Amino acid sequence: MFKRAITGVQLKPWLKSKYLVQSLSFPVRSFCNSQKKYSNKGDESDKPLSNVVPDFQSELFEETRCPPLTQPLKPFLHPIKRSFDYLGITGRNDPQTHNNLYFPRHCDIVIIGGGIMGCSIAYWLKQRGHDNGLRVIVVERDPNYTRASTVLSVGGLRQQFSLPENIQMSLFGAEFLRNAKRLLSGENLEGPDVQFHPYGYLFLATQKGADQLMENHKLQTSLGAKIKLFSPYKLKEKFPWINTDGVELASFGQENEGWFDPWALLNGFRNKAIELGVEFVKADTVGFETEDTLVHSKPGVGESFNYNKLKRVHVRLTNGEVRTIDFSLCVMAAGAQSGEVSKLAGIGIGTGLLRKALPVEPRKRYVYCFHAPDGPGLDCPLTVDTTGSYFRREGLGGHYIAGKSPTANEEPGIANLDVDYTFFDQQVWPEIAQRVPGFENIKLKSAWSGYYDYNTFDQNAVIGSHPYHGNLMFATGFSGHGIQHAPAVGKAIMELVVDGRFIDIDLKRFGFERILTNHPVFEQNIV
Amino acid sequence: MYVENKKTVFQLFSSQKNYAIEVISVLNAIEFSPYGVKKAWSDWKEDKLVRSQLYVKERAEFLGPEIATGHFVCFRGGKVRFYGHKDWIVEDPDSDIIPNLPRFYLESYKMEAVDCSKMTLVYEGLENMKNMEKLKWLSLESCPRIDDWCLDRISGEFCDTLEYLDIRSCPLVTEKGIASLSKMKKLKTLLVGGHPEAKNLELVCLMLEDVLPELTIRGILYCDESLLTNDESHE
Repeated sequence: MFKRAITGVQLKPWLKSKYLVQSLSFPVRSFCNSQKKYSNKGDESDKPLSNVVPDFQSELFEETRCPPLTQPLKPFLHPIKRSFDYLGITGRNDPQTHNNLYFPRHCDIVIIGGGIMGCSIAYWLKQRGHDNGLRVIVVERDPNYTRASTVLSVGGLRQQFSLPENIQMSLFGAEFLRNAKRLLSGENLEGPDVQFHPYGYLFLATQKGADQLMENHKLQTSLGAKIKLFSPYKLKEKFPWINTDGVELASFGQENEGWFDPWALLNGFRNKAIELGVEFVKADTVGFETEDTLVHSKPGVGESFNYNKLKRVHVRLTNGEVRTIDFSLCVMAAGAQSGEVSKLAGIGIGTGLLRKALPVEPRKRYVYCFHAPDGPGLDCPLTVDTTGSYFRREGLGGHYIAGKSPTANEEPGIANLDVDYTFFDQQVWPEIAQRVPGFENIKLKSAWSGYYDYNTFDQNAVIGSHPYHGNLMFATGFSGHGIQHAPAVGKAIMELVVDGRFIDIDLKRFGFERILTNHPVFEQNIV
Repeated sequence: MYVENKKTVFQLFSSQKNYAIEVISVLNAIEFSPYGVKKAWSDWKEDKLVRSQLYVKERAEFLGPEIATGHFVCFRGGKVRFYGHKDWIVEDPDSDIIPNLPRFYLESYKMEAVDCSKMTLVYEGLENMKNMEKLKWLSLESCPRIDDWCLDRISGEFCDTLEYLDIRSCPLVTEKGIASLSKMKKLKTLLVGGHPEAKNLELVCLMLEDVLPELTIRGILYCDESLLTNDESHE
């Protein structure tokens, strides 16, 4: 039975996209047994995942069927209006499209979501294939970014992670931010001033967490990050305003750590992408359309089967009209809504490889701004307490920003972005006041909330193409540390698209396959 | 990837990359516009400058970090001074070698002072100045490429030993970079001035002096004395 679904497939050379080949190579290596008949000799960089799957589940070998998605749509355009559209007469002031004279009906790559990830991917793709090399369209439903995670984020940059991929992405992000003004400048465009505050990150650990912190520190320094460990005595010497009760070990980032302005980076990427020719469309994604493709097998090995290839995305414009965009490749960078949008492509509502949904959902997080006249001075880094609360200085007038990730049973509802001030009074303030005695006398000034694109599976990014829908790539699920990884992720997706594999940073462990084989890749340092 | 891998002669010449790259390159227009040419030229010059200042591991391994820094700085127009020696070591325009600078590893040579004023030192170049044990004095006066990231690197690298820092006339430095100098606990003298991008510089310097009690900052006028004399005429 399993022969039919995935193994033993050989494609005729005239059959379509290379993405098909790419997609079918991955799952086969995941699920095939020890017979090395179909080993990949051409691709030395890929390690076979067959030794990762210890137990066979019969569900894995069921046939993958994509459920029927949106009805095929041929929007009716009045012929005279259509002619005017083509001639570019009426479309000139079209608010739906940013710089296109008429609504684009096809493209090479459509990026769903115009936040920091979408704009970064669009920039990197167009860098590689500008002018007519690649036609890239970004579908973003809210160009004012009122609810986007990007602009509501605290904008931290740190290398203190426990996974080498995350550390490398942060190092690349720091280098990119340093050169952002030059790289994102253009003919009539000044590069962004990202306002980097190089104050460092300070992680505190109790006796329980000290071992993990030391291991992380070894890994971070081996990859080139400059992190220093402090004992409680040295910590008190360096930061006299801190109360070192319960702190066994602390790690402080000496270089390339701090916070920056996410708005500036977003605008930098967006404006440069527009200058390079990316088209931004203001629309909401409402559905995908598939095309039935017959996949032939080698005679005697398997039978031909039907593959539903994603071909077209339906988007609803602000005037209610639904239009379609044909694409060759789709990148899912929709942030907190990625799980929902992926369902429109059948991921999570099909069978076989489509049975598991993308486990990314919005989680609301609060950030509180208060004034503390006795608080720490200029040397206050972004301190992450042993309890998970964090705080940092904001500006020069004695204002601070604090927050905390709630525990699983305290998760706030996601219906709106209203702030719960009792969470500050009961959870955040006692903990930071215990850590910094100067925070006992504070006045809460304001607060805001935003959504994490939270990966419920293992709180790490999902990057790479889906095993079945080979032309749908994910760049989402960052669970709170997306903004600093955005340049690296954009480059990684660009390398996947153009070169077919990761070149700079190997992000294969963050692929979608781990969700199907149930092998989480946990990050220990989540704030 | 499921095509059988037949070894043919022409496969030796096939590239490992995807063929999409060739298609995309063909569809790209070569940048002949004035802006494109200018940008390509300035990118090439920038690349050349950065590559000339990259960290050379062999140099540091052979000479030791202190003398390697001396070589790096002096060959680019700077001056250094070692502990126990009174005179600055500076390059001699008439000769090939730099007098008094050792050309092999000597344990007794420890760097005391580095003067990089007026050098076009970039962020990547500062990596050459790492692992020095007792650097006390550093001058980056009028270095046009020193910015907040460079100050972050300096304050991270020399946080335990530096006592004198001069960053006058570095146009790219903002108040955030100066605030990051709070990591340097032993800093005694800081010279600032000539930073058009720095806002609220007086406030940042006051707060910096709060955090680092031994510090005196020179070049900042906290109190504008002309305002004091005008008061009487108003009343």
